[in-house]
Amino acid sequence: MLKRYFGLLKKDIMVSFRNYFFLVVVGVALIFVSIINFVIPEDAEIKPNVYYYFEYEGEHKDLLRDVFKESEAKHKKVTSVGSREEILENMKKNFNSIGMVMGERDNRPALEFILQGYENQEVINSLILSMKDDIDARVRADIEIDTLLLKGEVEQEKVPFNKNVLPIFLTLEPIMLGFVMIAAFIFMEKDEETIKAYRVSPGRLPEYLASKITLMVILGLISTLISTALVVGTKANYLSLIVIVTLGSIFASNLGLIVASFFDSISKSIIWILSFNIVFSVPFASYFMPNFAPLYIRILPTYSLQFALREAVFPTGNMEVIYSTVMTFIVLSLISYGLAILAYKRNLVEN
Amino acid sequence: MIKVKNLYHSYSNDTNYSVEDINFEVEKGEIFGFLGPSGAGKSTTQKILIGLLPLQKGEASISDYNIRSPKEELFNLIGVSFEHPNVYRKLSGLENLEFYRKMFSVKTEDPMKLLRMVGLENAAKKKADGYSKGMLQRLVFVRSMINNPKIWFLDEPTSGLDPNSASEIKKVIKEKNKEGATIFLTTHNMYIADELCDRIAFINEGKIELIDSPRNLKLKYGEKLIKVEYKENGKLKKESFSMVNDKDREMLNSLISTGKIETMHSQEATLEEIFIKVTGRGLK
Ligand SMILES: Nc1ncnc2c1ncn2[C@@H]1O[C@H](COP(=O)(O)OP(=O)(O)OP(=O)(O)O)[C@@H](O)[C@H]1O
Ligand SMILES: [Mg+2]
Repeated sequence: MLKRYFGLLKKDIMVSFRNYFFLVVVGVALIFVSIINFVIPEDAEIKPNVYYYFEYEGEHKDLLRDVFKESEAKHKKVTSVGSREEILENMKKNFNSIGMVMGERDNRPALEFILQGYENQEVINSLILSMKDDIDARVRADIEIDTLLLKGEVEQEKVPFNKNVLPIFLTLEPIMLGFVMIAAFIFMEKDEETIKAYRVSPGRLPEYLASKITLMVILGLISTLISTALVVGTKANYLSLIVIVTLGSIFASNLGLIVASFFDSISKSIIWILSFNIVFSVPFASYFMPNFAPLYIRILPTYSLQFALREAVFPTGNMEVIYSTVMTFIVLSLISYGLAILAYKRNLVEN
Repeated sequence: MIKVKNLYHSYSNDTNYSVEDINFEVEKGEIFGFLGPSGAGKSTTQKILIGLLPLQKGEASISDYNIRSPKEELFNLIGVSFEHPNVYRKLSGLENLEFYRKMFSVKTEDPMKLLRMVGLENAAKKKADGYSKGMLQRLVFVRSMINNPKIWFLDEPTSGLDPNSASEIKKVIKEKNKEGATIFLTTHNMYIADELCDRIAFINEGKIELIDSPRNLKLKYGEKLIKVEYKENGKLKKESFSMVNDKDREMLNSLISTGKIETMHSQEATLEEIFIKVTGRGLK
């Protein structure tokens, strides 16, 4: 049993190596690392729209109004509105926006920030500071800065935007691999009919599938380790990362195997492969907009997977999300492996 | 060793049978041949026996293992050479065999020795991608021997091979049989069937028409013919005379008595002629 498993694995590694699977995986990882490090700006999402309402009527009124007028002229994204309610309305429509109210408190001018609640803290800080600088340059008076949180759940995150994309890649890649590569592999063996030769040997399906899954885990880990090491270096929690990626690859490979079992060529199955990929990519929306997390997204396994991967790549000490994701994926992997075996029993014998 | 009873199979899962009411038994140490034209149902029968097609209707067992639910041990006992060479194209011949032998839990043959047996030793390290059709054929053939099978299934083992390789393969088959292997062989080549098989089943349109040894078939169905060349009015004439037909015998006798005969030899009916006689169609 073990002898057969390792025999199969050695063969699968040799065949996939000679079909350039390893090269493709390393290449894709390197391309992705370059995109993160050199193409995506560090502060890409840091250009929120600003809606402001000027209600201050005190002694510095004219000076302060000038400051706001100036920034409105300087930045296209700064807009004046007529009331506090209007700010809130605009912010509801545009997730990537914040509000400011120039008001008065204890006879002093007070600038109040209204936030969505998931903004990058660094962005906020720099925004507040730059507003303060602008105002300081004009007014000597103390400006009190109040911040009021609209949604009240600030992400304590200091991850630059570009690196923050890494967990998305780590989520996507094993799934893409799992689906596309394992399907390509299976179709090649169906085409060569080598699977028939295997079936008249004592080798059984569970080992056959386990070897393919192991190969995908190896490829998934290679890609994960390369990209993580080059993007965040030693800061990541590699043990958690390896465990999560391994389980994610197993689950994705099983799904890929199941889909492939029903077809005999990539072209016939491509609709299904793409559909699965698209469905599993939907939770990425929640990654960038944590407020947007309806049930149909939260039940997709990639939803918790991406946050567990983020925790592993940028540890904040929140092990909870890792544990629960690992448990979920252990269960999912076992179930999907069982289903894959059933699917192959059915579809191989019938053909 | 192999028992098959009332075996039916339909690819469309209806009564449109590709093989129909097949019955036969293969004794231990026997070479049993399935002879029939293309599409007769030879490969279908073999695929059911080795578990590649489900057993839909009927009974079959190999070495007392019911093939309805084949056990792992059964696959240690059998060897299968496929009609279409199915090897890993990205692996060399040697790597293919090295991989395959690891699947078995019985004593296996040395891959290099097997490759030498069919003249592939120089191509051992070459990827199967670059093998010719005949080389691939020889590779699947030796692969099927790697576990020293007690029961050996050969689907068209010599089709597409040059005469030299074909006779090498025939030699190996005879040797393995002498060592005790039971062999189930399908072919549409009457010479192979005649030369190798202890008994032959004629199969046509999914049905077995008869089962017998080549010798019995010839005795029963083949008329012995005498081919004669003789001179008549200064011209050379050729004629065949059947030894079972009274008129033919008389004519031959008279030719002999007049002493006009130049050459004369007896000729047996071929299996193909017998096949045509029995089934009404040829093997092509
Ligand atoms: N996968 C399949 N699906 C549907 N019909 C099939 C399939 N394989 C074979 N058949 C049909 O079953 C019948 C028997 O085919 P089989 O392959 O057993 O013939 P064979 O005797 O091995 O012929 P050959 O000498 O060409 O190998 C044929 O009519 C063939 O068309
Ligand atoms: Mg055939």
